[in-house]
Amino acid sequence: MMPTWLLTVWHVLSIAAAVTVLMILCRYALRGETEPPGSEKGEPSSGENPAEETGVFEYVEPQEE
Amino acid sequence: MEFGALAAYLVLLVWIGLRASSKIKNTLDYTVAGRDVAWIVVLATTAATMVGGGASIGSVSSVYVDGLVFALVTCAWHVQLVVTGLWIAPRLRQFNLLTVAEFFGKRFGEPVRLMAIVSCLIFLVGALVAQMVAMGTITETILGIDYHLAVLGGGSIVIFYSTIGGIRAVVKTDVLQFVVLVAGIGTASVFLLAKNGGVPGILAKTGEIPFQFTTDEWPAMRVITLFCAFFLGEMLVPPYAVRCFIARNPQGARWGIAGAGIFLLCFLPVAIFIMGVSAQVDPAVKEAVKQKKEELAQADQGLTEKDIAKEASQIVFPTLMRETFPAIISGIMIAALIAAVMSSGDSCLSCISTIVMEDIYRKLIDPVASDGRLLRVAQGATLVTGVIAAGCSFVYRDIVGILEFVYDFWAPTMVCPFLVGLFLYRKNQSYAATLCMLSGFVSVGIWRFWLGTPGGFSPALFGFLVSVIVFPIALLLTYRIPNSRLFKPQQEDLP
Repeated sequence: MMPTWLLTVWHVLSIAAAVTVLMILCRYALRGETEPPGSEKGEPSSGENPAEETGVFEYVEPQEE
Repeated sequence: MEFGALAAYLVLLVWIGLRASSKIKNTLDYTVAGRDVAWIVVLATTAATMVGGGASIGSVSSVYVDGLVFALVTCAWHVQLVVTGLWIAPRLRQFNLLTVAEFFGKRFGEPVRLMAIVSCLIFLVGALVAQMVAMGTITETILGIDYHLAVLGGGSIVIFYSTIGGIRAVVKTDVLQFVVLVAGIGTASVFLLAKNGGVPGILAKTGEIPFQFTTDEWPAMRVITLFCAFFLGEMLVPPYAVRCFIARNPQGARWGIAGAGIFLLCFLPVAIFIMGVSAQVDPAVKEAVKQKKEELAQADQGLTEKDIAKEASQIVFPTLMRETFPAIISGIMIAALIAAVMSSGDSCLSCISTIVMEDIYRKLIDPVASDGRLLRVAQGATLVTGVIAAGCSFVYRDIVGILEFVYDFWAPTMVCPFLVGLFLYRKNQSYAATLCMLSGFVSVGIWRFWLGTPGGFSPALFGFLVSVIVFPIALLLTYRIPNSRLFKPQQEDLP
């Protein structure tokens, strides 16, 4: 049987996770920008990818991975 | 009130589709949203696609019947997303792909690409028909609207916004569905826990059985097998693969997909457990389920007592919403549940149109087609497929049967060569990949249809194990044979 304290802690964690994600989403909607963990601003986006601009979907060496 | 909320919600979806369509300038926008989606939006759209009818209404119903064990088994879906996000999504994003089959062609040559197209289409068409059926059934069950009318109404809206807005519309509607579902399910779980005196209070009312890890009906072997089947069943399926392709960069793909998995792992299993067990002690829900059972028994559709119990438990979630929230909020929640099913359907529709446009039309019919022409082909494919799927949902109404079929064939055919192509790729693997895919497909057919699934062992798991065993053996036997022109990888220099 799963201990009740563990389920209670899990539930608190679930609400904290929901609030956090909704807040990040709100921040994104208002400010239009968020960066994922470990990501530097200025990473290549699709618009900067010359292969995509020409419509040729070839592999392009990533600058960071 | 509930009808009003549903109507308002559907109008909002159409409006979002119309707005998204104004941003569609080329095929890249239509199929992968210009590869410019922020990681938090990837997270939201992935989570919304995961939380379809099965993970919401279906899971709460199953917890109502089976207890904690089912909530724990559903963790497999979310763990799969974490694994995919952390290790697979960044690599997939680097390849700048449009479709899954394109990857197979670049790694293993044309025959494997064609087999991958067939596999993807079987999965997507089956899943789309199942979602259409689910949409009609849920609307009929919850709101009493005629099944055919519900499919026509709901299906038309999904087809409309998917056709005009492509993946951009799908992503935007997914975000709305995500917010409503998370807010609604989160609030409901807190209300219900407070109402019942916390977890200890619920335990005191239900007894220990719903809190057990295994039960007589759910022995450890069944739990482990189902966990593995859930883990593999949706691994790398096109709707999730597309979420990797649309991300702004590899890190965005990683944290969008893995973030969805981590979030859902924290959020959903415990929330559906609380809702399921709270429903067990709610007199109104118990009464509604009892009435539904009587209706089903009187209808005499040849269902067993167990089938009737499962079928009747489908009304647990909406009934609980009605008991917990005021009419307008429960109306929005019910609309969101229907929309959750829609969001899984629209993803399938979007993936099918991309496959028809890129894998079939551009690669096989008109390699020099203009972008405008390809866009029209994709829109036409969305419209035609949606109409055909809606038509099929009038004929086939066995949701579980359709989904079991498509999930059983996906992992054995696709997962092993996909992972090899990503992480263990060497030249001259095309023949081994072909044999691996064929062996997975044939072994599932034999295990499922000829042997009748012996011992209840999941066909998906069996077929996957066969494909994993066949690949290294086939590689040893074929490694020294140079690839013929037909089997030559279309882009060998991928990393």
